[in-house]
Amino acid sequence: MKKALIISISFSVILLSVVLYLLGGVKKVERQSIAEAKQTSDANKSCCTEKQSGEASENSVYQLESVWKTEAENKIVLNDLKGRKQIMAMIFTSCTYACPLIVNDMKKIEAQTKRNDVNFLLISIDPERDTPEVLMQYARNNKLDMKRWRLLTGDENSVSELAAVLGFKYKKEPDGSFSHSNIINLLNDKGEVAYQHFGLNQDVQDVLENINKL
Amino acid sequence: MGLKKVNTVLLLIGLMNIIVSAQNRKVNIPEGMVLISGGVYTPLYGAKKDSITVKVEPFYMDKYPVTNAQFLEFVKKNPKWQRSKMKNLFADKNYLSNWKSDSELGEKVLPNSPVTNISWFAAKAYCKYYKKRLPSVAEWELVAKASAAKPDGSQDPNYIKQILEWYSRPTPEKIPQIGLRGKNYWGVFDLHGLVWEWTSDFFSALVTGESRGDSGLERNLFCGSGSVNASDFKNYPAFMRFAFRSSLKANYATNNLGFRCVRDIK
Repeated sequence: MKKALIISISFSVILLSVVLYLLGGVKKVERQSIAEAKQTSDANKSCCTEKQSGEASENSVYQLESVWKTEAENKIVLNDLKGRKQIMAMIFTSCTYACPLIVNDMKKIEAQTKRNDVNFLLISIDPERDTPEVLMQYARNNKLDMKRWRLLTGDENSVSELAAVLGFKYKKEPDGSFSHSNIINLLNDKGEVAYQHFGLNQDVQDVLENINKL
Repeated sequence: MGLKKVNTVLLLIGLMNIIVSAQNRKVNIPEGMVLISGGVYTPLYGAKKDSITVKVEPFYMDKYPVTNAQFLEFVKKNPKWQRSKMKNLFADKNYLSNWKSDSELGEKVLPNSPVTNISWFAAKAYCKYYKKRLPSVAEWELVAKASAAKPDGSQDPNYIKQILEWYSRPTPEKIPQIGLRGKNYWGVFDLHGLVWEWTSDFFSALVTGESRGDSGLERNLFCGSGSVNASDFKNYPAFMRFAFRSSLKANYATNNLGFRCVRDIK
């Protein structure tokens, strides 16, 4: 009796394990085919979004397809900015030292240029904290003329791609602040970088001269 | 008695089967990748003088750098990334310039050698297509500091010497094939010795916490004031990689710079 019991138990254990093993295998195959299907559908997607940006010039920053949000919660792509010159800087609003100086330099440019086809653009490198509401508040605090200024926030990938094409370096520090380059960019109507002004609190005459060349 | 023995053996086999099937379902490492169980990376430069460490979560990493043959396969499936269609914003004129044409590798490269003359955007697009991404500097450096025997070889003079010897040699005209040198502690090949590799956040190579004036950054790199903050003076190879990364631009395609991908664990 005892022997028979042991035999039946061990057989049932083997049976159970075989079933489990097979189940595992089936699941794996399923998972694979799902992943493959996903890949092809994604490939299709990327084929179709590419078509939209075919016309931009070879060096235009506006070829980046990322979607941004303005301080007024409007969704825009960079290509929507074309047709006007942009004085642009990448900043974060909780920045206490460098960014206020950059904004100040940009205001100096604003005060000294008579051209009304020049707009001013601040792009946040801090997607976590710089929501549209925060950007709006920042604009108010800095008394920015919203007819000429626009503030954008986007996701981490969008920020890094834009930074990469501008040669803008930044790094998030453990305390949540950022180390970053200080660059004021002048973009022409097509979104090409026409001039870059490096550093803080310097004469902005070079930027004004380059605006007038455009 | 004989029957009892047979029974015990059967029981053991059954138990082993259960264990194997359970493991089969748990371990699902993507093909061609290895598991990096994470760790701690100390950036060469921190914001503060006392060095700050970065915790690196576990991830999968490609065993080898992406090869010419693999990248050709990608380009065939994604014609946007053909050499002739490339826009300067995404890759400069050296992009895949060592290939014969859009669809042929030609004589100058080996199919099984790391692909080079690749921009950051191209490397990123490749990884994304295969549901992967570029490693961060922290991830790359964590894996790259492993010697053959230890997860951290950065204090091992022989290991450092080996890397420096490679750095001091000019890039050969034809880059050798992947996998011919030994693997490191994690089972990853060719992080050193063949080509340099792109990282997702190469643009984070700055020096000081608060940057007052942009040009000062690079100037301070190897001068007294800059290196006061450095966390590890002996690790010259890490200094060199830092300097190399800080000189890169996203559309640069050069003959000694390739890449590999990583994948998050879900």
